[in-house]
Amino acid sequence: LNLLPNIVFISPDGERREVYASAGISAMTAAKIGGVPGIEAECGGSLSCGTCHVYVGSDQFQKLPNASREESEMLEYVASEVRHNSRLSCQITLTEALDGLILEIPEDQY
Amino acid sequence: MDFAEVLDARMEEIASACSQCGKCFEACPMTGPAGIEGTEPRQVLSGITDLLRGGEGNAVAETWSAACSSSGTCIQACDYGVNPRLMVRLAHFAATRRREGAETKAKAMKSFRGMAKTVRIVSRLQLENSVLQELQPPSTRDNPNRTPDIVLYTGCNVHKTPHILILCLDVIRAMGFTYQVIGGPSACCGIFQFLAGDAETSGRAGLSALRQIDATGASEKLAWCPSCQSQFNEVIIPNYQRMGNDDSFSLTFFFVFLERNLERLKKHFVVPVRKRVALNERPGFPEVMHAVKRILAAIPGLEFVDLDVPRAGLMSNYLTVTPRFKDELREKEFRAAADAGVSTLATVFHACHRELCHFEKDVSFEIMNVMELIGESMGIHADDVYKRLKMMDDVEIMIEDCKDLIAQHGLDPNDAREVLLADQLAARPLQGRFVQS
Repeated sequence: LNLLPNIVFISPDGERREVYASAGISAMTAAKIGGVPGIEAECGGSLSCGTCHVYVGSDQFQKLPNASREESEMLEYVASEVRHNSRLSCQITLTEALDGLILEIPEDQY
Repeated sequence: MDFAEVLDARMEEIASACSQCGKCFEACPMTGPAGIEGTEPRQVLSGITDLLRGGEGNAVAETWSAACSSSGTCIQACDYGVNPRLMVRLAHFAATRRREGAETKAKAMKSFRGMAKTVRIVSRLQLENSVLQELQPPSTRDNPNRTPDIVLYTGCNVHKTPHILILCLDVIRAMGFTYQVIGGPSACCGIFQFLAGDAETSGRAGLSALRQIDATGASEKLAWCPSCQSQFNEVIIPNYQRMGNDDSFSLTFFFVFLERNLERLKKHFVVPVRKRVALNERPGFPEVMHAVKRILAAIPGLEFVDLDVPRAGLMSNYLTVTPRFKDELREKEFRAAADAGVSTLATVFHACHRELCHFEKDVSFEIMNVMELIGESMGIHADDVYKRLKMMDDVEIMIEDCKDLIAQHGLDPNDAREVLLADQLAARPLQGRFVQS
């Protein structure tokens, strides 16, 4: 069993940062543990700030469960452009199937 | 029922329980400053109850609810078992929700994000990362494998004056308790979203904080912040219970806990504090003022001076809605303190400290927080960097002073400048708008 999904965060200027994380935690938590800049996550994952916005790699977006009504609503108010592959990283629970997930960080979270 | 539905149900119940007698309106210290004193109380309360039921209310009711400073003097005035402070806060919530409509959620997020960014930057301009980490959850101290004796729920904004928090933790540690800190924006009580009229997001934030506090398993759940305490006591906890959860969760004010453990605390008061001290009292939670006075009375060498001046506001920033009234109260208090020959005016709450500390350069006494006096008697000190920065009165000098920490934390100097200007050199009403020029 691969309990260490590998996630790649890509900063707005193209810098790649790989983070290894346990399955079951959120991509936001993995970013915070890994010290990834640009994932602010001010509310700690309580779906009240929209500052952990990411763009999911296009071929991986379909692997994720659909966003909840609450997440979709919060995505309407994020600071950067909302795209078809926008998600809040606090709502992405990591699984082995998401090994290699690529998450692009938007320009601004405020 | 979900959180927002419970809140609506409670608003309807409160509206039904209110007899519209108007005694709460007559007891309110904000009616004069808000320019609505002398209005027929029944007219005001009729508007308040209409707002609670989703109606338009009336102009005077909306003004009163917008001017509420949570002083709590209305609570004793009600003969019908209603908590008028909560009623008026809910009316303000309802009026804001109605007025903002589809913009409610966007404004709530903006408000929360602004607060979070400010707290993050202002605390980083004062402390190195190693100290900041000590103030952040999760961090069971002393023995990470056991349930802490205490969970200290700090709220968000006390992190702007971190010396207060550092002293709280030093005192807890000295008393021999193990503790865990829960706080900062990631454990917000939801008041920012509530003030913006967004029940759903406010509930998500507040319930998340409640669960984080509860999950520590600590038998003593302490709160520092009166805004959080009020939001928890009046909104979050009652809603949580109505949503089918257990009814045992409660928070105790930090100072009330210290007073209950005064015999244990007093043993650490080993350094005489030869100061003549007056207190910057706030009427919102009388039990806190009572506790603080008892604690100060136990400090050797300290002489307490009771100032007979008018008091209002849960904290100083709640009075920003009526700026001239706020200035008048502050000037009366400063004059009385000077006339009484005090050496020290002690703030109780963090927002009062933020708003008053820099006046130290204009008055004949020092302005410090109660925790600094307690610490002094215990031989504990933490630098009040916030006051030192604020007394500079010039954002460029502040930025220069903080340049090493700006670099260490990787902060954008322009962000730091913007935040300092907004937080330290300007004042915006917590309630959303000024009701007095």
